[in-house]
Amino acid sequence: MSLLGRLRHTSTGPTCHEDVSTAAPDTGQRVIALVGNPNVGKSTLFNSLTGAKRSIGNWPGTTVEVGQGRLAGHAPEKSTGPLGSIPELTVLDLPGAYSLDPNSPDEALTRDLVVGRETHELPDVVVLIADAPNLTRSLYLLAQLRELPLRIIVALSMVDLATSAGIGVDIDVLAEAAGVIVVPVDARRRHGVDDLIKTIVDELDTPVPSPRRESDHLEQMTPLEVLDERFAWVSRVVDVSTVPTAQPRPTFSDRLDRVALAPVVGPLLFLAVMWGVFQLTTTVAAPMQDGLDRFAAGTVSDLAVNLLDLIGLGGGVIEGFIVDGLIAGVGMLLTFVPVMGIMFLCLAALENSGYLARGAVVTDRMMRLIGLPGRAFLPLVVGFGCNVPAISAARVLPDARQRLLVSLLVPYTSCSARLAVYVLVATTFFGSAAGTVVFVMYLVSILFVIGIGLLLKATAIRALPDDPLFIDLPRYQAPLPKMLFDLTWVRLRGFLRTAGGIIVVTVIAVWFLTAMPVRGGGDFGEVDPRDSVYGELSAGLAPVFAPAGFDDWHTSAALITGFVAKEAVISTWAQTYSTAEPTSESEPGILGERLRDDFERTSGGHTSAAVLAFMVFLLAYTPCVATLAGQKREIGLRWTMGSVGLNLVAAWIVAVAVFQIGSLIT
Amino acid sequence: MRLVDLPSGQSAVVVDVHAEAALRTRLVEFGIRPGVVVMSRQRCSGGGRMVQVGNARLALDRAALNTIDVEVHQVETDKGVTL
Repeated sequence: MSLLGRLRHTSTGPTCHEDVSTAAPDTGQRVIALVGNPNVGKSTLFNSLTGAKRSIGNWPGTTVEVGQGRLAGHAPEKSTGPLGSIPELTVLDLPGAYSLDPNSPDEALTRDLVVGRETHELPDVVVLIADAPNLTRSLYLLAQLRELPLRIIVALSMVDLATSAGIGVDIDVLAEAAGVIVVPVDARRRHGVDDLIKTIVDELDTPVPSPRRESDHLEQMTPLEVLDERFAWVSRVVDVSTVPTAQPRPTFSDRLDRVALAPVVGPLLFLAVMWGVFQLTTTVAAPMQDGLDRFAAGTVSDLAVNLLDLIGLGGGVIEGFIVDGLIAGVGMLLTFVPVMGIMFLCLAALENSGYLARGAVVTDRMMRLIGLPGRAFLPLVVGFGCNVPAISAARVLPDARQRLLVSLLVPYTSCSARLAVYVLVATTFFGSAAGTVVFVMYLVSILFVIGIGLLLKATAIRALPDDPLFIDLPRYQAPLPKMLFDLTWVRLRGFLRTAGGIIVVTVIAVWFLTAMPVRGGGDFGEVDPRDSVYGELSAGLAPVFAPAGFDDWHTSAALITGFVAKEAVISTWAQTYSTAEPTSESEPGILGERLRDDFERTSGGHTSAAVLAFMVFLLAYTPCVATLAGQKREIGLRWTMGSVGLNLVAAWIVAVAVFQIGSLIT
Repeated sequence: MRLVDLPSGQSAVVVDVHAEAALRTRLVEFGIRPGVVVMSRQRCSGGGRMVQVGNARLALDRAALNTIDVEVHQVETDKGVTL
């Protein structure tokens, strides 16, 4: 099977990122593979080379999926000029790797795609992005690559940073000593990218250089001798090609890390940063959400009703389908754009600035409690944005049991879809204390992760390896706004694509089930929601929540839809309450009032306790279907089913405990 | 001396890495191997250290630091680079 053929097998399934591998190219293509250590700007260079938008992050292992794109300016339709004869150049953005000895599935994939088994599977050109300030480490990978029959180009990045860090790199000497072409690039500012493209194209038709030493020689060496030989080669190359320029001084990053990594202060700062992120999401996103909601439920719905009246279709099943199904569904999807957008933007800024790596260090102790290394912090934090990519991000972990454990814990990280529900519920019931209540939900989420982690570690997943912490701290950098917005847009679009269809379909399905009468003699579309199939179903389920204080069919109906997508909880409430209204207007104010009445009734006066119990249940009872699909792909159907069962049981027990204890206190 | 005992701000030469094979390989890939100068930069939350190797900054916890033996002496490489 060809290199690209195998790639198609390795990257399938749901993801919040753009699925770049679906545009599968024809055979006979030339392949350019981008390789490099994590954090050397590989994804940025990939974007510059292809013009594509890709996940860019300042964190080891961000590029979990393999990116694929066409070399800019070399698409067939643009094939004019001297380079016109080149058929098509595919660029692959391989996961970051420190070496070709795989330590994680990411690195294994990189190794697989670069080493190949047959000569015809090898990429036509390998571009190694080398970090000038960390030349030794970058060249270790080069030492390994040079053991293979490959055309290699070194793209040397951050030369200016190396100079200010006290190292001058002589590019010509480096090229000579390493036996490769070296092109200095600055992908962040697009310097040298055109040179690199030209060099790649020129290099394509040159004969493949012979490896730097005989492979049979390699086979006679012990693993330790192999390591030593590589380092001797690296040292030689680094020695001749670099000169110290000035005494290095403590960098800006060093000064910042005095605080960010410090005992006590570091974890407090991390907590403060997280609190700031959530405060920003609630205070900035909430008004925008309200505005969008009014726009869809008010302006657009009125317009649609008037239009339908005009063409003589008003008032019937069609109006119900369009206004209460379609417009309500799309409108709800729109209200998530601000929350998800701000959350993705914050996350991108944290990743891109390098702060997330510090977060992994200060949380390492806590992660270790549940048998996970600090690196596992990344998928869990991503989970707070969206559970779906978090499941994929678990692949940065080297150990299969750790990956399994993380996949089982991700559903307890409170994603921003759940945040939207908290914001509505908290502003409805807690007024000015809403921000604090929402923040508490995140603490509860963390407690769930720890509690379930301890439980699983003691029962289902034992013998977790206790590898020491060992993490690369990238330099802090001011994130480029364009990069942040690109990344946010890619993730937001991914979210809208994965969740959009599900949400709209769910809302329509709920409308359908709500419109279908089960008793009371009403016609389809003319039935009171309580007398519909959905109402009957929800009412049957509601008593389960009596011990938690929210035994109400509207709320259990919302939770059933929430099983499909958390975002749909609010719309189901709106639907079940608003269609019960004489008018079809669904102002949030009215919804809030109805919710307050019902929660007060079902909780026997202990409204706050019941609301908190509901929020806790919502937090943990199950992730959305897209996450379940991801889980199934990563850990199999049985573990996924087990996970859902555990979610439901844990959520119910804790919610009941919250209500019972809460109603004693209040 | 173990790297864990190297005071912050001091440099030393790695003399031995006695981690198990996987970690050892990883450390070597990051440039931590006998003969290399490392500098202990600061204490980290959780009891570990931030260590500088070349221009890279690495965070290691006590368990990882314990596997690395270092020797403090006048740092003078053939290129005159001091840390």
